[in-house]
Amino acid sequence: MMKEYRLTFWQMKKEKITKAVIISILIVITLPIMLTYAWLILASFSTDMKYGIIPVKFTLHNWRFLWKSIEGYPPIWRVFFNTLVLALSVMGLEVFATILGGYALSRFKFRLRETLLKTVLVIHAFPSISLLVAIYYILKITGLIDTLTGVILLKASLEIPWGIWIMKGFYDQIPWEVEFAGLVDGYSRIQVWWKVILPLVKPGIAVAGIFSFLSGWSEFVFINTFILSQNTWTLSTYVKAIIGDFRFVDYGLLTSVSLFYIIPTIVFFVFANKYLLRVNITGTKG
Amino acid sequence: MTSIRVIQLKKYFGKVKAVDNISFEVKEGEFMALLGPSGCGKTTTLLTLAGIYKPTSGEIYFGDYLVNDVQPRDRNIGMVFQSYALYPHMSVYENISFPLKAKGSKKKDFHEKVLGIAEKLGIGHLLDRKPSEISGGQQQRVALARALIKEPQIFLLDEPLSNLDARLRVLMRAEIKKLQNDLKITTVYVTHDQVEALTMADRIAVFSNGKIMQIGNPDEIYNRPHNLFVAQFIGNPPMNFIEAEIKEIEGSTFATSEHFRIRISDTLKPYLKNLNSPEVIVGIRPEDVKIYENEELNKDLTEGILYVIEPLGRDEIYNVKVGDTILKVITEERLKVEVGKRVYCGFDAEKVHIFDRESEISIRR
Repeated sequence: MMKEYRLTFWQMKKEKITKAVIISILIVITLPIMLTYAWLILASFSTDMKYGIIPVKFTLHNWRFLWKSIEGYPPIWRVFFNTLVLALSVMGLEVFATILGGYALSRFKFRLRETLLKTVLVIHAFPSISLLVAIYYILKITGLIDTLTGVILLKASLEIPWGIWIMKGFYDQIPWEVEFAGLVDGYSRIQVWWKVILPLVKPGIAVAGIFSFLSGWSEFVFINTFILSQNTWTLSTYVKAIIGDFRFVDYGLLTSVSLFYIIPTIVFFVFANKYLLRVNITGTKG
Repeated sequence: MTSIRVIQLKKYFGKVKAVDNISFEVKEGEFMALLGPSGCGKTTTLLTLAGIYKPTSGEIYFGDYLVNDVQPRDRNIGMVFQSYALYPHMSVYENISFPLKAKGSKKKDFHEKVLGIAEKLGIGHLLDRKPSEISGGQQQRVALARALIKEPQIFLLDEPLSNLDARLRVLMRAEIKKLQNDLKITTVYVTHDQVEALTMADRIAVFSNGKIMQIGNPDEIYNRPHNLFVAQFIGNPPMNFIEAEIKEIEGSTFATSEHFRIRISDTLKPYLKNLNSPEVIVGIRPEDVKIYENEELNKDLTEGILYVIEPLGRDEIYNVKVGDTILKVITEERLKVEVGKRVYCGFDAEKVHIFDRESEISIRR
């Protein structure tokens, strides 16, 4: 006769119960965030919110800023364009600087290399807001105050150190032998870098690019401090202006503009998912 | 086709002397193996030949040209790496044609050539695949094709077989040798595997600690090791070593110790004058020792106890304990002696190697 193993209820259901518990905890934690987004979406398409939370009637009135100018505010598409220019420029500058800088720090042995690596990390850890006054003087002297160029250069220079670390981590994983092979196969070091090494660090370029785009897209402090004229507003200042409007706060408008502001971020994340996962798996090495 | 001449080459990394004053020559069309344990400087030497490392001092000539300052891409070499170092983002076809594109050739000019070499190496059906989609042995062939397609004047291989499984390694060993033979290309082959070096190479340079211990053809390396290191490194199972002293007994010369009395043959005797002191190390290969079940007359036999038998199929290794020393003896004969019983070992006097205990150099050098 086969011996029967008697299992307690707990032993049989253990995995399912643990899973249920974990999921409930996660739901409770994420609920406030999820509700915020749900409220944002509902409010932007509703004329009013009953008790502040229940949508009343569907409307596109809140989205009117897309096709006509709101009094007292610059046209949304100019603001959108400014934001896009800022984000893309920061991204361009950062990618350009990090693919070169990361390679140098990963591949070349030179004096003070270690020191440089550490300094770069420390600089990145600096809260940039503490530099505001000093930066103001620099921008003033260089005549870049109240220009998008000034903010772009500033933002890029603060993002690049971190990007270099990320890129260095990706370069570190490419074996020397592949580079040697390229040299022996008849190419110069620069050509090998361009034809062999760069294609292999594409995920790294994507990661650095995505993060710098998003940080440019969501930049607020520097824009708010150094940009004065409405012509160079970006979406973050636009949203802030609506919140801080002295006449009255149009919540419908606020929600729809906020939503409009988030959309590119979400689109970017959807496309960039696989690359962002890569950075977690590969990590970065010193 | 060209010859290689390396003169007093040194390569230091900081304080580490990776290659410490070596000189050697590879003749046109010759197959030269650089053999040594890991970290002995053989790969550094190869990379210096390739131009990837710059020599700290010394000269490298390809033919009559001093190439010290010539860039790797201008040296016209083909190279195969231990990890194959294929370009992961390119197809097999693109990998093989990559060196030709460097010269600015168009696809219509080299297409036939790529197909030809791929066919020759048996990878014609894999041209559209990525390196990650083919097996290790196939990757190896792609690496060979990539190295050979531009018809280099020098062929450099860095442990090309060590990532393959044992069966494939034996197969590729013969194939690379055949390929080299067909192309008559000057080849430098780095390996830590003595079997690869002995079976493939025309000549072998044995490395240790950044220095060359001996250069010679496989027969010389195996049968006339210049020093203790080469004697220890070459041969499997390794040579037996016995510390002894040279003595004259009853008109004959012997190397003796507490348990051994090894006769020195007449051919070896004249070389004894090279010794600084009578203290020597006697080396004898396992196949040069014969085991007898009984003590026979007129033979200088050494008595021992049969310790362990290791069967190898065709051969058997008998481990004989003499005093504290274990002698390994390899033979095709099957003894009818049980482990733990008394046996007698006879040394082939012509095959005995004698090294100075102080300098570790062979007296026949």
